[in-house]
Amino acid sequence: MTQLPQQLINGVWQGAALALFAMGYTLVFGVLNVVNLAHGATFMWGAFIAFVCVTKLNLSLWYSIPVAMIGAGFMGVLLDRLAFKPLRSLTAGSLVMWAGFLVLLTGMLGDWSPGTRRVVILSGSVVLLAGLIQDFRSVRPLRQREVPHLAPMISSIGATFILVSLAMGEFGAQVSRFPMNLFPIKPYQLTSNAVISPIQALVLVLSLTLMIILHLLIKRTQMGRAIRGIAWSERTSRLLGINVDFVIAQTFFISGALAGAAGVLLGLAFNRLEPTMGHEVELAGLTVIIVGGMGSIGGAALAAFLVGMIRVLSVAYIDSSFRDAFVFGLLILVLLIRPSGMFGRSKVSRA
Amino acid sequence: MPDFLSHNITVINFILINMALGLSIYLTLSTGLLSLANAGFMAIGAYTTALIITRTDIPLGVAIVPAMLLAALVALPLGMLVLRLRDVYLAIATLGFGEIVRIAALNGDKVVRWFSDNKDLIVFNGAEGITLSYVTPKIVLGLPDSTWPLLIYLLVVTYLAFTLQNSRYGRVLASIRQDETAAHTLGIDVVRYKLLAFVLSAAIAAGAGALSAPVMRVIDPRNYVFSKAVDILAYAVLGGMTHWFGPIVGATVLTSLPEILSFLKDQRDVANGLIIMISTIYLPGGLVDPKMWRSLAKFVLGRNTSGSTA
Repeated sequence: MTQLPQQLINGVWQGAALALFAMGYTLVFGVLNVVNLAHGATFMWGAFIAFVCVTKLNLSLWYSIPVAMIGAGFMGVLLDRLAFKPLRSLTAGSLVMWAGFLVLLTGMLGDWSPGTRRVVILSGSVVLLAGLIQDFRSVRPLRQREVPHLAPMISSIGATFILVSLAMGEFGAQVSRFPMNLFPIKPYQLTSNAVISPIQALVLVLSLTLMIILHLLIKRTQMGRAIRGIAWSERTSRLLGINVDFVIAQTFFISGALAGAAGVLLGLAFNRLEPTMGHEVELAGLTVIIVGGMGSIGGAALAAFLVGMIRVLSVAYIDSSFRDAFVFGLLILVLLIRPSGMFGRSKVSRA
Repeated sequence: MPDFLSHNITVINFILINMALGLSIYLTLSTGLLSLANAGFMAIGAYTTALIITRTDIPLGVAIVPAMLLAALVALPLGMLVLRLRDVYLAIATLGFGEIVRIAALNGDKVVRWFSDNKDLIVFNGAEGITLSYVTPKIVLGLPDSTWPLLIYLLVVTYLAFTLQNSRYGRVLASIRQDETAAHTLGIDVVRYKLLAFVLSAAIAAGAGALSAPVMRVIDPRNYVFSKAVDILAYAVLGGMTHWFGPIVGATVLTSLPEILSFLKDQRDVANGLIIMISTIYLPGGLVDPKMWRSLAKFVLGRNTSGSTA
């Protein structure tokens, strides 16, 4: 039991990073009622964007983290516009975006000479952007309908395939690591038998800061009010003159940026980046948002600490291979006792 | 055996397995249950059969029976617990079940050793899984003897799905999908029918898993992860969920696609993902959507018949 304080600290910083991931996850669910299964892929790309910034562009870590967040945020917006928005309302702009996206992909993956590749990628990006702008401006969709739960889930699975294999192509299936000298290693002594390394402290501080910023953003700003309005009723918000699609895009940006931050931080803390790193956190994140109550940001944050703690403690005291069994045991238990989660609105199901 | 068959026999075997899996999830989807537990039940079937045929002389055709029964026995209490959940919640709870099955297979030996005196006992063999010895397939009536059971099983399952669609039972399931409350007020025992569909679906998935054991030869937990559950769902969604023929087409397309696209080498997954995305966006009813084909036929042939239908 002497190692208990140390394990609690590990649980807290891992829980904090998990909370970043899960808050973005639950934010999108709250607004759109959609489980974005590509959230794990955005997480992974956030980590790799920071990796490229540090190793290829020689940026310092302090610039790389915001760059990764912005990059992952835009990835979230593109994801919405390519994978989710066409299901809700298909516009001419979405068709143009898709055409641009396909050109971009052929440019990236095809067997071209460097010059041609640049031209193809550039023209694809231009078409993609033009379509994006057109999509934002359009008011009269070609098709609009109620989306069943399944379609967006499947569509985001397709997006995950694409994002993961693009990362495979770019960085290889092996583990990539940040350079060792990036961060001091000497741990701080907290108590006689508990230490925290600088990187873990960074994860904790940065996660908590971002959580507070998100809280203020949602509770205190006009944008946050609009997001909450749409989560409550999309139709009413639309009637009140809120640009629903634009607010949804903002939500995806925030969600992606948070996933990106979580990706960089966990990537740094474990110093282990691989294209499939999103899968594991995806499942943990799903548990967190259910336990916290789908759509509840505060609930997700608390549940993330709980899940982080359970994972760390079950590794320390029982057996590492049973870690996820405990997490899913908790998941099923919560679903059975209180399907709406700890803080969810009780609209889920009647027995 | 014709060249085409002998070259592609592995792919064909997997198409047959995946068709049966697609039909198993079709059964729950057509009741309006978004259950992702089928990969877990498939694992139960595969492990049970692999253990039986490696340890005894019982043939595959008999070993499939306990596999299916075991899955049904697991599905019954599980269904009682989770079927009151809906939509995404049910999906995630069943996903959790799948993960628990995988973790159980991974750590089964540790548990077995607690109860046994033999501390080196190997049953599930953890991450390495159970390996079946290679048997050169014999050709029976133009097909290898590993393909025949799959084909027969698929025919039985397809017949079941086909009769289901047009039977009273099928209509009841469809009514639960369309409006559970209305079905309930009409005197349909919604809970019982949901449970029946769930257990049947579990047994079908376990049967497919059981027959897949000799084809895969290595039964290890990695074959039954999250992505397998998602693959199975994708067969039904791509093919279409309103007709039993949908999952069959979906499984064929998605299983053969990586082979057809093999010229793309490393970019196969990108193409796979694109096809999944484009088909969900532009073909919302799936490839086999009677409504879509009917309106398409009307559009193409409409010039002649418009007078009579108008």
